[in-house]
Amino acid sequence: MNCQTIQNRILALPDPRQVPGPLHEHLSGCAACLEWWKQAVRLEQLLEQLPVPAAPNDRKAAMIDELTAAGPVIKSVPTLHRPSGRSPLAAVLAIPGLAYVGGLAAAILVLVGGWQLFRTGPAPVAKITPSEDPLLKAMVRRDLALAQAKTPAQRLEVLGGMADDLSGEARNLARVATAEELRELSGLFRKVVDDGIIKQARDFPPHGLSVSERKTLFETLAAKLAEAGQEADRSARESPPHAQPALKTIADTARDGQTRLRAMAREVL
Amino acid sequence: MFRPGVTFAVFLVLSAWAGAQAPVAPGMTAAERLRLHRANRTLLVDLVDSGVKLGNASHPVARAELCQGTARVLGIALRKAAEAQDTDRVAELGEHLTLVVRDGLVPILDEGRQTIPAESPDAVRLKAVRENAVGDLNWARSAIPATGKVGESDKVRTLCGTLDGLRDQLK
Repeated sequence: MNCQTIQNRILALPDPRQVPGPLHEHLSGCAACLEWWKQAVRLEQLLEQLPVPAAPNDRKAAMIDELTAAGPVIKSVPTLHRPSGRSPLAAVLAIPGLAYVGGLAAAILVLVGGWQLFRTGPAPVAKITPSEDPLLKAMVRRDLALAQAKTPAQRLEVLGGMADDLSGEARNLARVATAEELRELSGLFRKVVDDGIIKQARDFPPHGLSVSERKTLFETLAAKLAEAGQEADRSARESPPHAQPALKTIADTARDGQTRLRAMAREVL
Repeated sequence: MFRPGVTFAVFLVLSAWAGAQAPVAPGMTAAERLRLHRANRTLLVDLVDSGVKLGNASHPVARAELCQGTARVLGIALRKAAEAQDTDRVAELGEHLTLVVRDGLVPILDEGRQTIPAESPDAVRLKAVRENAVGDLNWARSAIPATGKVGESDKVRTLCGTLDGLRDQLK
């Protein structure tokens, strides 16, 4: 390499202060090139100290124009094809406030779940499985309570509950049971009221309870029968024609029993 | 889009979990209720009848006889259920039978034994009630198979043990 080549290469360096190995060897043995290199370094330092003028306002736009004119530059972002209209889920989710409602519901469920998970005490146990008959269960318990009852007053109370169970069953089945089945239920209700409650009340031992206690007992039973009668009446109005006679029988029996019990309550006094 | 989706999924999972935690609802459809009513119609008539009679009975022997009658109708129904291979019904009726004998009949008989003179006609009637009750229990118990769907059910096995225990109590 001659000195001119060396000096040209020094001019081409991005920073003349950083001299590569082969050039460095030449500079260490050539005073002329070394002097030339020193001037190049000085020039670089002077250039660094010069103030930088502001770029023209349109320089950016000009540069973009140069770039876009040069080759395959992406000018717009392609979009995927979507079917017209929004999906049902997107439409639902776009309902204003739904996200808040969903979040609130999730928070409530988390709280309820946490309460269920960490609360103390036994978990709720189902008392009745679907194959168990609630009326049968109730009747067995009523019979047992009657077997265990020690006083006429206790028996009267149990019989009142039995009458309630039967009138409730008739109302529950009013729309689906046959007229004969409902008639049978009304017959059972009448049996409990006439042969059970009224007979017990009539044969009530004079010294079984105090006068006021007996009056209260009879009045309570009469009120229960009055309620059963009203519910049977209401149910009869809302039930199909075939169910109405049985429900009316229950209502009439309850009213009659109520009247007789109230009369007995008055006689007590 | 991602956040509402996650919220919705969490909501569904929690709903399913919360639903699984809930106890079995005691309510049932009218059709299911009617099916059960028809299955137990005769039994209900008998139970109401014996209940009304029990309500009017004050003598211990009469009460014992009526209570044994209630146990008998339940035993008959249990036997029919066992013959029909209806495991759930055997368990249900067995529970009722156990209740009536254990908490109803046995205490009445024990009370009668203490209060009624041993050589009296009432004591003889009471002894007959006890013997009949044992016979009824044996008869109902014998219908429950030791094997098969009914016999191998845990509920029914437990029931058989309970019935055997009650029979010993009555003797």
